Amino acid sequence: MICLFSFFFIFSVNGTSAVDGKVYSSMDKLQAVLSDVFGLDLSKYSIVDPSSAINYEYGGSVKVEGCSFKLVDAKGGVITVRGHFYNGYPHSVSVRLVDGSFYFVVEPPRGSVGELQAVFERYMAFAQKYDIATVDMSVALDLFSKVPSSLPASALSSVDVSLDNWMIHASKKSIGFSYLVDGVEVPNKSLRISYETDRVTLYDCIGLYSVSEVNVFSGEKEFESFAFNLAQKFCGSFFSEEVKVDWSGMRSEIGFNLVPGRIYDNPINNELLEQGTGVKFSKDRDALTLYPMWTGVFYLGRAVGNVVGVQVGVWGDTGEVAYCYEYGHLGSSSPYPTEDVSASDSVNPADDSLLWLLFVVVLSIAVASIAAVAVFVKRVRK
Amino acid sequence: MLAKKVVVCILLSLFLALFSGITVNSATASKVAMQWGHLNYQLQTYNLTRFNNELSWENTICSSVNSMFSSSWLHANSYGSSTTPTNVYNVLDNVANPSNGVTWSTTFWVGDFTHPWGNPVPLPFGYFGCFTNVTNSYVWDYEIYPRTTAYGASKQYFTFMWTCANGGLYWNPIGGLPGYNSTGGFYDVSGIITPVVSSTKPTWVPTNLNNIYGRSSGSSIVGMPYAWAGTLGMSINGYSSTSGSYTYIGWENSSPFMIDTPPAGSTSTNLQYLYFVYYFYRSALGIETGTPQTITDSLNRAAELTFGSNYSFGTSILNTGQWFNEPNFPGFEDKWFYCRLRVYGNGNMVLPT
Repeated sequence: MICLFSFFFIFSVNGTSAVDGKVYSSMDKLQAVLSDVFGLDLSKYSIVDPSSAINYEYGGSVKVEGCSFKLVDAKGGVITVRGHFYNGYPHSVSVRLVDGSFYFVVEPPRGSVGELQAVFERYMAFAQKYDIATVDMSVALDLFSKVPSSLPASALSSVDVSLDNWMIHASKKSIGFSYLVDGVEVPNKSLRISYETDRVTLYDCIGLYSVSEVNVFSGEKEFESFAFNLAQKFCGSFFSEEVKVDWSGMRSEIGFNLVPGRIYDNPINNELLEQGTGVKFSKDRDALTLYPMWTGVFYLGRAVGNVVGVQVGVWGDTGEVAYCYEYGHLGSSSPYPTEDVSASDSVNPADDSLLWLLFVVVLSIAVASIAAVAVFVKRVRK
Repeated sequence: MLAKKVVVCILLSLFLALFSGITVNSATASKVAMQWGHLNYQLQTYNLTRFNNELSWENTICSSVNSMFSSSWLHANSYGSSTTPTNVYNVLDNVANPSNGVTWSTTFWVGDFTHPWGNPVPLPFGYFGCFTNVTNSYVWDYEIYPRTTAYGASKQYFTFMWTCANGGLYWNPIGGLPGYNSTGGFYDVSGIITPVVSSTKPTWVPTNLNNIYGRSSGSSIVGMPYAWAGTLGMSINGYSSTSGSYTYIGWENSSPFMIDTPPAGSTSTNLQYLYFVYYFYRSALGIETGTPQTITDSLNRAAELTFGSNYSFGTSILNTGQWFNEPNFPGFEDKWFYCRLRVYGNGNMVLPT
């Protein structure tokens, strides 16, 4: 059973005004990330093509400020910068050096835990200034103290250490914190700062979301049994009567995530729902609460056309079936596996033998025609 | 001159309206955005006559993408019944013809792909095609190329092809290592060119030694990226590249349905692949931030929104790839191909406003 977990805020949930009482735009905050967190000297750059727009997601309940601009240096080097703030929280910030290595622009961590901690502390100062609720500093420092001083040589490998409901991920080029529910990581409620070869990224949605307390399934096995039953029923109504559905050797892939309650409350899914084929969700759910969702794919023993299985998604808090659909791949199938290929229009343009044959036939007809005309003319003249 | 251009554009608009059954939004646009696609009609004999979810999802994403193009574009959703070889080829002809005044064209295509079976020529897969609304009639790469290049450089500057196989690296002109098929000009890479036979999903990642996306074949060409862009000069790592006039996105080997949910462990949102396309165009056309973003930034933004903030396109399963089993024939269930979404050309491209 997943329970409701309290988590630690150091600030109130308010993404628009800062602790100094001023109101900052997403553009202000995006530039502050560059200078205060990543240490970029903005005075060396010109800001080009700034733009911003406000959208409302999740059925209009979350204000999304998107902004972007380019930084151009004296030598013509270009950095593209974009950020998206959800109710003031940095849902994603991406700073990408076009055509080059980022390490010429910012000083990345060289792989020590101390450097990662310094980057993190700079972010925490930024978060404090802009009133962004995130991981508790004391919890973070406790986790840092448990990270071994020697990090894996590969930047792709991380050291993962957990403490109570939190986990730290530390690699040579990234640092992150994730919230845990019954030991299960919740990526949607996490913070991460990552240095890649051509860009640096930051996101922090720890304070944006709370977590639902209920899960009607005791675990993977119970969900799998429930969902497989749905999948079998789906096949009964989906395929035509002539199809003998083969579940022999069935294999399944089961997944579990905590997702925003109204992630499917968007124009495209609402349109699909009107057509009777969208993902079902309750509009009673809170957009900024993460609810459990179980997913499963059940593979047929033998594919039917391009349909290789059935996929099922179920909201874990209520047991409501979100979707139950076919699952498959777009065709690499032959259009005519049992037919004569020559009957179709799939003429092979480079089949030289066919072209040669055509040429010979045309030439023969031409020669015969000329000969016939010549004979005819000769006879007429006689 | 201007009057002539307007007249020609009106004629083009009329053409599109007449032959594609579409709504024309502008009679003066010099930029064309088309959405095409069709499922394998043969599948309907199995299952799709009752209720086809994938069909609805494909139609909806095409409609949604179409609605994102502003009135400065001549844009049309021709998914489904309007996707016929005649319509597609006529639009390509009209776009290419300089007298029509089209300067920039982009295409989104979703649906099933085909290729000749048996002993395909040229190797390894034969020509590449897409299903249409006409039985036993397909849109082929060798038919597209002469149209896109009829008057010189192709005007199909950005193409996003969500079908199986129409974006793979299947050839290598050099060779030199074991496994090279000198007749076909490709490395016979297990998992890429030939399937891996295994009762369980393989856990390793094949290294594709092939490095070109098309080639000439007799008097024609093979390969959809080559056919649309009309050039073999696109970077094979368009995600990182910043040069060139064209960008093409397509799948190497199998592509998932629009309605498929990414595998467990590769998503923190559970959103279906349809959302990747949706969010990509929202970013690329500037709907999110007010300014169109580059292809690379749009790929990254789409990955963040579709798979979760902890993903970029580079770390998403679209780029890192996954194993699909070949579903179409009895006995193929234990045969696996490694599949990924390839980006060719210039990731720094921005769709014109």
